[in-house]
Amino acid sequence: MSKERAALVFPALVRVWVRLNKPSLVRFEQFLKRMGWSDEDAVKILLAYALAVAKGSGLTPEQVRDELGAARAELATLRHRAFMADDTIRTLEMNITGFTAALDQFERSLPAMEEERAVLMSLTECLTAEAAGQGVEVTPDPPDPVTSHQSLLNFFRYQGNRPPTKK
Amino acid sequence: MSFPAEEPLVPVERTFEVEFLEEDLEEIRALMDEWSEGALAALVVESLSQFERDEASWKALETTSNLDTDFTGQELMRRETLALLISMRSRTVRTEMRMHELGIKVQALEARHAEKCREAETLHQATARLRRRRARIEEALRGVTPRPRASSPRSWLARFFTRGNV
Repeated sequence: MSKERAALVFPALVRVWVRLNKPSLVRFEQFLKRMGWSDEDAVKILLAYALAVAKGSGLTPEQVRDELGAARAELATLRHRAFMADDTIRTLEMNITGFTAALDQFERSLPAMEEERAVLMSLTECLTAEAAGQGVEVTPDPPDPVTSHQSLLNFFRYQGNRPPTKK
Repeated sequence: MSFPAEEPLVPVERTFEVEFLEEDLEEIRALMDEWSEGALAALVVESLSQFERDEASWKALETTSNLDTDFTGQELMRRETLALLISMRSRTVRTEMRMHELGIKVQALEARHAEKCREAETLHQATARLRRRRARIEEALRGVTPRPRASSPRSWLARFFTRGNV
């Protein structure tokens, strides 16, 4: 999903700043200590509480009951979504760690493999020249052996419209 | 001589940064005559007073009536639940956005990893092919009497020692 699409999928979030002066802050900190909430959570809940109070004026008992039920249901859904998202984040972070480590390893091993190939190439060229000099005929390269595992992979690549591994 | 009682260290003022869903913030904004950090602070303080009053009402109700059926009790529960809900909405969306960003990052890393795997596999196959070719040439050369090689310092030294010069 692109960033543009993400902007369409997720509702807009807005940040605001609340400045509390010393008398308010003393009272607020006492409240925080009593409730055991974090600073930001407390500010958010208190602002939301003002809205909740305003929204409740003029409601009938039935409406209050309905609103309470709806709010509880949405809160349960949100908690579940947050739990699932946190869980997925943990998995993704582990994936990032794993892939990063694997890529680092490739950064180290690929140059070594390339060097080994170059050495072998040079050695083989020398031997080929030597064989040619002595008039020795070397049989042409046979096709690479395809293991059953690779064959199966090629089958699935073919099924998935991907080119098979070249041999 | 006596020292004044120690007061807790509270800064002169403090700014809190909070995040809401835009639509929820619009509704909060509608509660205020003017929009400023100070007005928001006043709303927080007013709400704090209301919260404390409601808490006292709740405690009084706990001893006198059935909270599941009492209208006031239900209204207090509705307020608290709605406040938690509004604060939870933005947090959930923020977490899901982070999850989405990490998902994109993992996809990119996975693609790079697959590319490196292909590169390593290609190199591995090329090396194996060269080894097999080298073995075939060496085998073919073994069947032929070797022609003396052009003298290199190393081969000269080897011959020198094999002739019993030492």
